Amino acid sequence: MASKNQVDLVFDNTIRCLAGYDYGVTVFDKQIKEHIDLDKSYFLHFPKNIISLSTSFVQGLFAKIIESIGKNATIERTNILSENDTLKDKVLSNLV
Amino acid sequence: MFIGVIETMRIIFNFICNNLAPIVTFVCMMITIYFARKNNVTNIKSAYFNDIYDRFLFDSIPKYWNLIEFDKELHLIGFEKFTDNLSDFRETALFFKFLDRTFYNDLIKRIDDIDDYINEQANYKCHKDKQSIVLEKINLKLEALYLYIDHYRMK
Repeated sequence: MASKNQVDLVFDNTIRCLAGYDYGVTVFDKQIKEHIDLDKSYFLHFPKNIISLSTSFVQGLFAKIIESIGKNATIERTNILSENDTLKDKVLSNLV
Repeated sequence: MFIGVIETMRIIFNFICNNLAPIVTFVCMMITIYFARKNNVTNIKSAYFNDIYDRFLFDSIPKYWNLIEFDKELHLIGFEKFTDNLSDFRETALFFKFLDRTFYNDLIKRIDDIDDYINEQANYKCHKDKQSIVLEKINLKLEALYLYIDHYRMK
């Protein structure tokens, strides 16, 4: 686990947009689940090639987090790191 | 025995006559309440539909749909406002989750399907010959969404 409680998400360089509920769940299971402590503030870093997320992807990505700590704690503890500001907005607006 | 039957019938007849007015009043009251509630739900539903039509279906969705195109590198671009708008639409439709769960779930499925399709297509380079097919497919999904909403509104 990174000392900052952060995960640097990795995707194929040719991927620009992430879509699909099931894919969101897969990314959580494979890249996030074992690497962050949900009891404190955590950071998800999206690489710069990612420019867009579909709503269902966001919902799949956070489904198990919300199930585990609740919606309010998820909103409070989630920090999105991305060179693309719209990703942060997209995540937060779809968590509410 | 025959007199006993007549007497029983007379008692029943008197009972009905004496209580008929309150029973009729009660039934009328229940019918009035039922239709008032139904009318009220219809009015609320109608107000919501007007809002959805004005804000999204008539205005922002067609406006932002027009911005979607392919760039010189053959990538789908200009879709961010459109998909953000779909997210807003999704949020506005939350009202229906409490009014008609089946309609809400189906509506969300259709909105997500369009959003996912656009985001998936934006990952690929699309040859010029195929670009119109992608745009047409988005258009067809949108048309189906409009028809679905309109059909439900008319119900």
